[in-house]
Amino acid sequence: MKTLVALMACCVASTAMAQAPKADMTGIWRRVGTTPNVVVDGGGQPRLTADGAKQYAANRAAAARGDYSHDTSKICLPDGIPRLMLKGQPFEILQRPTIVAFNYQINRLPRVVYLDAKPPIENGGYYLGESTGKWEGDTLVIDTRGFNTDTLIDDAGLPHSEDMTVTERLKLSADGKKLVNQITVVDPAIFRSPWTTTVTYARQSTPIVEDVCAERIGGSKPKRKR
Amino acid sequence: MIKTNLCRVAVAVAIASVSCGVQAQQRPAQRLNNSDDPGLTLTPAIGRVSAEAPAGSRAPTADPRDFEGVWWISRYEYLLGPSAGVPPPLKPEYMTILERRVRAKNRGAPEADASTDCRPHGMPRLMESPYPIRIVQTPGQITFMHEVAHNIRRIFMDQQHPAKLKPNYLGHSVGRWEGDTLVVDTTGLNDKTFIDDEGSTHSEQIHVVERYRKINGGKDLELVMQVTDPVTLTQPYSYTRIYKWRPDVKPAEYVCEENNRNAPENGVTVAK
Repeated sequence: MKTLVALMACCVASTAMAQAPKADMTGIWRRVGTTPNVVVDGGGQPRLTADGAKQYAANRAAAARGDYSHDTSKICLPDGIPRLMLKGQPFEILQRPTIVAFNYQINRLPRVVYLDAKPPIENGGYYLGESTGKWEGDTLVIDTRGFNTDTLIDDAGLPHSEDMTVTERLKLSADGKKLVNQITVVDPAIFRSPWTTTVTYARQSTPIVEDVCAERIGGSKPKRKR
Repeated sequence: MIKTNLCRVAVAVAIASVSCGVQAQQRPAQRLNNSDDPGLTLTPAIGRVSAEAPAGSRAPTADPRDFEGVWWISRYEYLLGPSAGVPPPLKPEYMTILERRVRAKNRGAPEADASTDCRPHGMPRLMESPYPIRIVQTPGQITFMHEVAHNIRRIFMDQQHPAKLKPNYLGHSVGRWEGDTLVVDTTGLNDKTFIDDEGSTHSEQIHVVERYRKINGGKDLELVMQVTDPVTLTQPYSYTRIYKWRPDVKPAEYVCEENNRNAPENGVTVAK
């Protein structure tokens, strides 16, 4: 009986820990050090398939001649995931028991990570995909999938397919001032193998400011690349 | 969920008529200030936007100060005055502007405001959106995440407004609890938005006070909205709205900027 009680206490405690992590990521964060292109852990760039390399080369060539029609963020469409997690603009995390919201300063974009749902939530085809998450101890593990192909992975024009999956492992530093995100991308149509890039955000004391992309670029542009 | 989304799309696309299964509950068209002029016909309200959550949905918590979750306005008015079909108490010169805008709308060439161009709706109009709102409560802050045009409002609790505010679209909001009523005070709004969909004008001196409380066992969130503007209004006025508790709804990705067919040209909303 004593053993049974101990066993139950163990399992109740473990469930409670999964539901109520000690880590509180609520606050405003900003990436420390940015690069226009993804640098994978250990150095270098993601290894592209032939099709991926072709799309990337086309994007780079277009950008070199000043044509950014492949980058719909230039006409205020949402940067996707993981690009929003790689940008240098701040974002706010609101950590709650059943959701974790990421509210990005860039054009006021919202993202809700559902901790009480399993993928897929709906039918996909979203700029930011659909995010579900779970706590592994004090690490928040986010699965995002269900993308459209109108976004890029980074500012340099790295493409992805609609089958991309992104896994983020977010963990606070011991002092709570830094947040480390280990981002893993799987997309066999574009990349020869899964790759991981790890980025760090610093806690900010200044508030998010209102950013209105349509105003920044002088009015919304009813133009699309296709 | 898909049905709900289709309904939401219909609400977004339709301006004068809505195909969302709600026509039967609309009022007959009224005219501005009971005019005889058909050019001053007002867009009928949408009698029902959100119903009750489906049976079996998660019940609201008993905590009267816990607003966290998804809420959805019960009906939608195109004119935000003290009562349905009545305009805000505009000074005569601003009533003339509203008449001009209603006429332009009825000619099929509505004057553009910020939201037509994918800029935020401003206040109080944002709270009249026929799309769901997620409320998130964290220490010192209550955040309203609106599905419509990815608007986010942050209400800073128990703080004062900064002495100098640069006006913007959603202003600066501070909140406090008065008993179980959340009182939100918003100032610092720019004058690029309209008070309402019909085109009532406000100035940068607009001051908006919202009072929210849970009623009906937490299934309804009641808002009493008070609007003050010494420049365009003869007096402050207020109105009441109900938001339905909708734990079954996941607000969708809303991208106004995608193929914005109504993007204004020379100040006129172009329907294509």
